[in-house]
Amino acid sequence: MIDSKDTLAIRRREVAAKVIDGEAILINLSTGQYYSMGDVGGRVWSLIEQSCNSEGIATAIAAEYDVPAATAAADVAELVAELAAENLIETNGAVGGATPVARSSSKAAYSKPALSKFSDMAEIFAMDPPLPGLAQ
Amino acid sequence: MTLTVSCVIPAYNAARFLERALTSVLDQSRPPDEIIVVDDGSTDGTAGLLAAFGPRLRVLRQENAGPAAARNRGIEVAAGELVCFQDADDEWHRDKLAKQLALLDARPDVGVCITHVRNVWAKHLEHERLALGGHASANDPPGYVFQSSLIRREVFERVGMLDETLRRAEDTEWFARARDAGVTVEVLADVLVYRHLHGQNVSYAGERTASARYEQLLEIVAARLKQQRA
Repeated sequence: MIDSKDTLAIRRREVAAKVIDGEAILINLSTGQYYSMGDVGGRVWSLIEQSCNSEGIATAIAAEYDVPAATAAADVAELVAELAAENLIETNGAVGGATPVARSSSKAAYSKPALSKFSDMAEIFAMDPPLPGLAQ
Repeated sequence: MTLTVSCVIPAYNAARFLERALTSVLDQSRPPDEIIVVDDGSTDGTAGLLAAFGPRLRVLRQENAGPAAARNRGIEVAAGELVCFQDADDEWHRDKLAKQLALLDARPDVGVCITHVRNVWAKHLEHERLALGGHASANDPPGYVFQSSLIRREVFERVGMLDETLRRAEDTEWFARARDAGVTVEVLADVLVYRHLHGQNVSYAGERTASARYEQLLEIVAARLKQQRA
């Protein structure tokens, strides 16, 4: 169970990830499944990359999107739990996390972030071992 | 009816292991009808080694353009109804082609036959193999790679040729396209290909290259998602 103050970390040993045009694209190299999260989800992923915690991420989302703080907190917690359940992220043992670097000041339209999962390439990706020390 | 088989082998500075790879092709219980080696601008002893094999090989030479381009040049001149590939580092089980041919002969609906592949880590990379544990790649996975494949020539017309802009993951990208085109890929359960990983493979030389491969996989996935929404 991830607490909102726990610092989040990407499981770099097994996950290849990139944010392209605001969309987060992830590959779990252990299972061969790949995922996409658009716009709000992509922003959440970028903040996880910066080692934020759920609380910090929810604050940033509420500041950047037209959404009540409570909704942002609930939706972020739900997405973080889902990412953890898919073994894409984990807590690194620390509490606190980085302060999110704020984006533009005008609020964008909000939609609940969703994690889309695909298994159609799983066998084909099985040839690619997640090499230890994947991060650059 | 027995189908004719061309074998295409891209080779770049391959002198260290090429003889082993060629021997495993020549020693097949059912050898290919022609072997086309594409020397992709080698600067080591590859050319001399190929010359020593004489007329058993047809050698094409080009400036370095990557394995995808090298394979495409080979496919373009291949005379066989079926095309298979070998990598300069790898080995085949003696009966690989015989078993794959039997399947394609019996199943006209199958466009591509692949086999299971054993990844063989060099001694100095043993730590890598151990770190992988139960991951599929360390447990003889199905080989969605060209060196495991026997492909009907017309499949290339349907799917297209290899993407020459990709220096890595060109097999992953092609198999994804083949799947989207509805090509039937049949997997033989046996391990008939031994893929040697020694740190100097195009895909595995150093972590920087591994990261580059993952970059390319991400781009393949991104393109796929974009296409599905179009």
